Amino acid sequence: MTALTVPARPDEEDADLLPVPWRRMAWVTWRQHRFALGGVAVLLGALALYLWLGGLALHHAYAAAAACHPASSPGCENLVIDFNGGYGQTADNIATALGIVPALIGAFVGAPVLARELETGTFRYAWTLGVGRRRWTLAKVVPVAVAVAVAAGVFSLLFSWYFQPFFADGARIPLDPKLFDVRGVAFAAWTLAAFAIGALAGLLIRRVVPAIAATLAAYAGLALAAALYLQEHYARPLLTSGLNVPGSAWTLSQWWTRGGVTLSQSALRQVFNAAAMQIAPVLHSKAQKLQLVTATIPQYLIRHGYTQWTSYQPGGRFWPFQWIEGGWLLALSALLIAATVWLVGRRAT
Amino acid sequence: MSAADLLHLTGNLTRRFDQPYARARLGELGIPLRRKAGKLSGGQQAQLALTLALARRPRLPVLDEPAAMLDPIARHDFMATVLAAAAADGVSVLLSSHVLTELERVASYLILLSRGRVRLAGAVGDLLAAHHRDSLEELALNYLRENPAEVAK
Repeated sequence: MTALTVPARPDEEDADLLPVPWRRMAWVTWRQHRFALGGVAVLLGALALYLWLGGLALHHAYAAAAACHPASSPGCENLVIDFNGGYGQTADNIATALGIVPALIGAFVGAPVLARELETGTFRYAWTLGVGRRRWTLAKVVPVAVAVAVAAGVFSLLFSWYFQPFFADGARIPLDPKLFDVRGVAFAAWTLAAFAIGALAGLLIRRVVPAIAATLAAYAGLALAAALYLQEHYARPLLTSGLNVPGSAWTLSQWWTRGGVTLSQSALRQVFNAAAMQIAPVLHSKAQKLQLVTATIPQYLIRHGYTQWTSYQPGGRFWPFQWIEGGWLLALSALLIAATVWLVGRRAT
Repeated sequence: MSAADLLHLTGNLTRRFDQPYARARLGELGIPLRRKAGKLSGGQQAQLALTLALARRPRLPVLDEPAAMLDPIARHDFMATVLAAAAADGVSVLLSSHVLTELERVASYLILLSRGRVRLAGAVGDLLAAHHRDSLEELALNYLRENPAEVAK
């Protein structure tokens, strides 16, 4: 059955002109999405506990390696290498895993936020109540979006603390795309964007499972495009012909020239091999080889008229880049949510 | 969602909602507030929907086939409560139905629609008297049969 009502009794006409207060809608939003929000809290909470316990051990190990004296002794160097190798591998895996957390939140919180009501048909009831469908959509989407973004932001603070030793000892660089997206304001911004993508996909597709798949695909495409093509262009890269590129720099590309002509990869390999034969035909250890390739041969080549060019983003651009990325993601999210609310108002049923 | 959740939700999403009235009405009908709405019987679901509509204190509730999903006994009871509620609130109810005998018990004014057009309209008593019929079913069937051209159009 269906029941429509013509509202208003003459004596209470005034009350009908007032919109339903937002705080009353907040209860409904909480009641409908408490399990999804609880799921996010449990997921991030469990990860946070793991990070905190792992982080304590990691910081302890780092403090031991940093306190070792003298720092250049073989024992101390081995301590640092073990730290970067053992803990570093785990930390890199965690960073990679965190990269998909925004996608999961977008898919399992964002996509069902409207799609579930559209799929089950309960939207017909909600849309004919006094609240109005656009306000209803705003009241559902915005608080949940803010909640997941704030949770992600707090969580990324914890991750930054966890990962700090690897920046301090220079083993990792903050601008590395894999680390860049899960720290600073970027993690919260990506979570917000994923949620907004999910909400819009849910509205357009109207079914939960296909909307989840579409959200994952759209998010993956966007994140990949940003990491591969966008982030390095947030500011014009610096170009240097010296060998003294700062350790915290994000190297974008490196090439050699001689007399204004760029050397191809194969030509470069020949030049390197020839130089290696000249300088040190026999190598005794891995460390020796590393020293040869990164310092001795380049210096030798420069003396012989070659020039090494490096284009890079200096580590000091971390926060400007964070605000650029956070800014466009926030704008994109606002646009997607506005489009969602507008489309809800436009669709017939 | 439980019946209580639905009351709370509707109360929060409408400008006016008579929460005590809704609770009292469900209590009288013996509908458990904590039970999920989907687990209620068809008659109870219809009563819940009616309660949610009436608690908004409408001036003119429009009920479109409200009892279509119910068995005959539930339908009879449901119609009785619709009438009682409407009388208690002092409101008119606009009710649509295909079951003419059902309407005869509850309706005071009839509009007969066929193919999207109004065929007959008037107070039920007046219509019966004017066409010398005993029941609405007889009246409607005979009227539509006697005026086939009008129906076909």
